[in-house]
Amino acid sequence: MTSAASPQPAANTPTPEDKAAWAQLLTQLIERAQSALLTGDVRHRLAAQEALIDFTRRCDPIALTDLHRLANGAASDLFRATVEAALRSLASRSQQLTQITAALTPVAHQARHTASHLRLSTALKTVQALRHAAQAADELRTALATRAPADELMTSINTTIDHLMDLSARIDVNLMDPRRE
Amino acid sequence: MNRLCARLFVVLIGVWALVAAAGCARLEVGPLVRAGEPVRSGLVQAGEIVASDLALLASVDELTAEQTADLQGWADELRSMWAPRLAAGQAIADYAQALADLAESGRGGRQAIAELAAAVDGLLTTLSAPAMPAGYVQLAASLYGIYAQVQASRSIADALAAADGAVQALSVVLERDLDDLDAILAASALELERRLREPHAQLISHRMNLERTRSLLESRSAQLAGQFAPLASEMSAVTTLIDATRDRYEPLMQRIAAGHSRIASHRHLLRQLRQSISDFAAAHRRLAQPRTSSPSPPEHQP
Repeated sequence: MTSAASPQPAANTPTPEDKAAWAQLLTQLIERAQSALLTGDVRHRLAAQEALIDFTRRCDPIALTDLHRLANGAASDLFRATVEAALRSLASRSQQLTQITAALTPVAHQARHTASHLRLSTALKTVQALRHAAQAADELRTALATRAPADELMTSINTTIDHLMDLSARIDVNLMDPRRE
Repeated sequence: MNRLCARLFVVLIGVWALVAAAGCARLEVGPLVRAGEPVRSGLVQAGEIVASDLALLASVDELTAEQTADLQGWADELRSMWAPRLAAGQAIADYAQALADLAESGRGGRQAIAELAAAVDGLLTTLSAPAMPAGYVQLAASLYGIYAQVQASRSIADALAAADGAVQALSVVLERDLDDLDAILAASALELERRLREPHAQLISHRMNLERTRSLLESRSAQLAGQFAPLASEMSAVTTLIDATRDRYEPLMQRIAAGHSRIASHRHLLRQLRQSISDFAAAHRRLAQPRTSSPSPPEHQP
């Protein structure tokens, strides 16, 4: 990419007075731009855009106003064409990308399942649920034996039922699908 | 008791043989896991920087309302169509993390048994039953540790083989996406310069003419070695005229240079992301290859 400001004229820069030479140069650049648009080659489009901008850097905007304006317009058109083509190209792959991504997700899911299985997470949680249920039953037995007040007894019964339900749910799930938590 | 010990010994030897066989295929997924995160974070950054550069163009003075709307529309369109790319980056990071979890669960087999034994002991205590003999727990931990390692290695190999087609296809698609983003940035850098220069074309032309004149005077002065005093006064006049343009010309040139520099750094980030994606895919292919029967399943070929 050329520098932002280039005070030294390029080797092929016509003299400021030679309007015909400037017009001929711009014609060549516009033909090149049209050809780049037709081929759809991004590198050609960018090179043509840069050449037109380089023309505007060197061409006198006062003496050659029309040529300056034409070159600016052509460079702007090339910019628009490049952005629109890139956005179309991106859009054309979005659906394909979504499909491929969807193919990766179950593999990760399965790997996590296996990792959980190897960590014995299911067995560990089931034993813990069993322990909680046994503790709750033991507390209920103590409450009954000591003739605890009705509200404490009710709380103890509810806790025991909750733990038994949790244990039952874990066993049911494991029986249906041993790999599920 | 002796017969039991002998049986256990045989089982231990059998499992050990399994490990020896699986040990050859033990896969080191650490580098792959580490390569997954830059892909995710890079994709989050990539769409946003390009959209923000398009929006930057819209901030240039003296644009028509139509030009501004076009640029803002393109930025919004890009942000919207980048969503599947963000999902792909997240899927890659999740997948890499799942492989790491699997490897970790294989290494943690003994610990898993120890935790289960502690939980069972807790249950036995609650039931006022005697605790499990420590020797059995240790033996179980050793055997399960070996089993978990073998199983994790196999599962990793299976996951790599199952995902390789998708990973390679994602890599190809994402690299094409980055080529498109790079084209937008390259064109934007040129367009930004053009839009900044256009309203000030006369000032720039005037300044460049003055600099050419000064350059010419300098070379004449050198040739004449200071014989003609009038050249010095002309030089002084040109320098004064150049100085008079500084307050408008130099901030403009700085703004153009800053725009180029900003976009160049963004293009560099895209190249780095492209490399991260390519590295991830290559690392994945190397690990998956021994178990992959066909290098790239046709259903994922872009």
